[in-house]
Amino acid sequence: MRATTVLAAVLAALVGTFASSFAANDPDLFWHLASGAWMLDHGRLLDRDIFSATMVGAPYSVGQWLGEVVFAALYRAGGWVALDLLRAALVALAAFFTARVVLRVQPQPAWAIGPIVAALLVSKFLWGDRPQLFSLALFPAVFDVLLAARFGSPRRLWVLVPVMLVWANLHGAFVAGLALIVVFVVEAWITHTPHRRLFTAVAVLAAGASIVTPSGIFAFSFAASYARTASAVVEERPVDITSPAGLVFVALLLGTLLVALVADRRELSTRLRSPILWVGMVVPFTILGLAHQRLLPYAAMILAPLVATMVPSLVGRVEAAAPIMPRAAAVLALAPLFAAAAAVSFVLAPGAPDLSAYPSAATDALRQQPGPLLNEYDWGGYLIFAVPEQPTFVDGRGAALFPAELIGEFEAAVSLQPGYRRVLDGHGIRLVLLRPGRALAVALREDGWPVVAEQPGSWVLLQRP
Amino acid sequence: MKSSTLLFPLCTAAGAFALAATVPLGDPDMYWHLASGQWMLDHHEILRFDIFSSTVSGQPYSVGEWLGEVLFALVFNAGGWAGLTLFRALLAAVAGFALARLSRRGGAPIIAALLVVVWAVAFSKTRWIDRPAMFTFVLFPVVLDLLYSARAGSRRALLAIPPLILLWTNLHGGYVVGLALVLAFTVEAAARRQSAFVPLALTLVASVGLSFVDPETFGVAGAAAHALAPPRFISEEAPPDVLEPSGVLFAGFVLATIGLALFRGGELLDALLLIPLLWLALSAQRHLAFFVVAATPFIAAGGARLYVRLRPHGVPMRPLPGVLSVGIAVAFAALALASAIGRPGAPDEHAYPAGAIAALRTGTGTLLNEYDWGGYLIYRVPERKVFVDGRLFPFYPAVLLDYRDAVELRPDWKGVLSKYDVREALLMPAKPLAVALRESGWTVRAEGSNFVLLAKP
Repeated sequence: MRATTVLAAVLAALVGTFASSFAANDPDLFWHLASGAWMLDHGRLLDRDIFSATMVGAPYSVGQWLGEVVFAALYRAGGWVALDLLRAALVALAAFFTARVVLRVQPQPAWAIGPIVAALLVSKFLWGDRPQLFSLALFPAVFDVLLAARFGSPRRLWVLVPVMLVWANLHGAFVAGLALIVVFVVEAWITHTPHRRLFTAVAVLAAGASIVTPSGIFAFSFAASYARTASAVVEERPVDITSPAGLVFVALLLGTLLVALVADRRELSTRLRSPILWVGMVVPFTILGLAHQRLLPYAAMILAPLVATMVPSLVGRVEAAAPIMPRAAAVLALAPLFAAAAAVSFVLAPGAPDLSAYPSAATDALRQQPGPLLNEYDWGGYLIFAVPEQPTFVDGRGAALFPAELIGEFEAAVSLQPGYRRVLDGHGIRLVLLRPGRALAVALREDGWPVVAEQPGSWVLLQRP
Repeated sequence: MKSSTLLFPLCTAAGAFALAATVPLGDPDMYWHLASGQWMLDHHEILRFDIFSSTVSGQPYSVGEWLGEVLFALVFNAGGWAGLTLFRALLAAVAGFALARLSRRGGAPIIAALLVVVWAVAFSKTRWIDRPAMFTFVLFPVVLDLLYSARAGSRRALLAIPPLILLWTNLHGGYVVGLALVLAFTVEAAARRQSAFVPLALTLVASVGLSFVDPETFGVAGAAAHALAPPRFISEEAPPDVLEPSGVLFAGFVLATIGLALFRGGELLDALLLIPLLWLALSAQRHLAFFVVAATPFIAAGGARLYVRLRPHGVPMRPLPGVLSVGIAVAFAALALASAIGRPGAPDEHAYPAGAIAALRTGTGTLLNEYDWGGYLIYRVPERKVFVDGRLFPFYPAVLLDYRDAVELRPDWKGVLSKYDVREALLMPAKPLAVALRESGWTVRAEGSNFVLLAKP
């Protein structure tokens, strides 16, 4: 076993343990859990809305049924601790494969560690507890398999077919994995690599496997969302390089450009082995990363190995090969480490979600008052989970369920645009649960809507008089 | 200089002129810049304190663009709106000329240079604005081209740079980027131990020294602070969106630069120029053009070499026949002339509350207005002081926070209206405050499809 693989495993154990210490608080986690629980209870896919008051009965798909079922099954089996540990495991996998990819092209840890840490810091953007965690782990895994196949072990490629089958059912970002495979296929044909037919066959089968989902070919509609312009959803907005994740990402991007411009050409070509392959990956994933914050981690995972392998050429360091260590010794060293990491993770896991951002104290009042309810978008998922008897107006299922007109009505109402009363009356709204700073909350208070419950500065529940 | 060397830049200049002359004026900040310039012309002194607002009246401030404002006002006094349109077209032509020269600095054949220049001009069209920032848009490629000239051996080109920096400093706060260009070339010369180091270093010292000859400088520190923490609530200070039209064109430059750098490398100077400018561009939309201009020679040259490498037996470029060159030049000149004749004679004010002006003139008391309309009101209704406007700095942060609390109907909105004793509000009809004030019984004094003027009962 290569010593770099052992190092990647050590890093994964540390990062996974660290990830276990965060309390679950992703706003979408709750409706994913509720969806998964419904599917477990009913033994079939949830393909119609049962949670909202505005779209009840409407068909929809978020393309993540298996991910939701896994989350719900684990939650039933082990509660919040199980979800903390699932997050830790998936982040650990992401860290392992990210590190292995970087160490594959840059076996010297001193040069590799910076870019690895940078990619992992950016990846924290996707550590929210929802099916996207599977994509976070599977993207670098697919990347690792592809790199290994391109520069050494082509037989491993076949594993991508079942991986894509599972991934396509877990989360919609499987398209990023397919895109990566396509880049390798194109490069293989341009450079006439001996295994180009194998790459092509695997790509065709992987693409075929990824449509074996309840959504079929429509699972690819996720990719279409990449082409949308700036959205109201924060994670779909363009990257802000003054944010921590943006700062780290831009450091990787500028580092790539710096080395590409300044390093010796021949040495760089030797180190990269196939510059066209890296161009093929950097160009599309950089543009995706710049376009949508949620895709930034994937772009960082592409840039990290590039920076790691190129920077030493600036100072004339020679390439090194990874030292090999006996497999048994590696297993003996890693087994106690992983056992310790699992134990520490179990201890560190908060075991309860962090609900400080949610109107958790409003749930009793919500159960006692008749709806319909107009709620903050970000709180919809929590309400689905915590107060299922009070259907939501909108929630994090977003454009997958709610048409643009309804989202427009919601925006018009909460920001007090002309016609907001028509929205309230049209939907028969009797309860409003909003942040107190919302224009609608301010106006309704002044209009005489009594306060049923409130937490100053956090939320207010108003009832039609 | 050979005529063929000039033909391409001249045609590009004519094309840029023709394009810029067809776009009507309408920048929201143009109006307060004009009003400021006019005040300075009338009073023969620099405007250093607020005279336009009711909220920060009399308070000192600086936007560091006094000469740019005076020039705009002079042009307007001489030629009216049409004169300003032609002035902007002329500035775009100068930028186009310099950009075309830059595109061939890396030795690119004309076809490669032409493709990149068309791409860059298509992008830069979104940045042709009617305010002093336009001078930065022009002077940046001019100074960069002079520096490339000096690097190619023409040391005399350096003599023009310190006076240009002096002018730039007084025209617009973007002069700091010009200083950064000189610094990049100086560092490269030092690192390469080139003989150009001494003249470049002297140019840098002179430029930095002259940049302090400004009666109301914004300052390097001010510019740096602004770049490091852009006020995101202003649209042009938002992160670039690579999925909107100008963002797509910008992203093309970024990806072409990275792709070509990975394929064929570059030089130290490319790194010294492109890396800081890419960081700057990614920090805020208003800075995108700097990277596009600086990347133009790199992409044109790199693209041409890549083409030769990929198609070594492809059709080589031949010089244009003389008659055809003359024909092209005449066609571009005719195009520019036609655009100048057909230029719009008035600004496009459909985005402003033109229908409220008469009512505003007869109104009294403190007016609360949309941020984007402040400049327009300063110019069109000088008798009414504005609440906020595009000058930003005098209002930042206290007045802007109050303004936001009021127009977004935050819980303390009534307190803000009382604090400033607001008697009238001129807002977009969909603003929460406009809706709330209507429902509170404020009377509608004037109304249009895009505005409503409400008065306290």
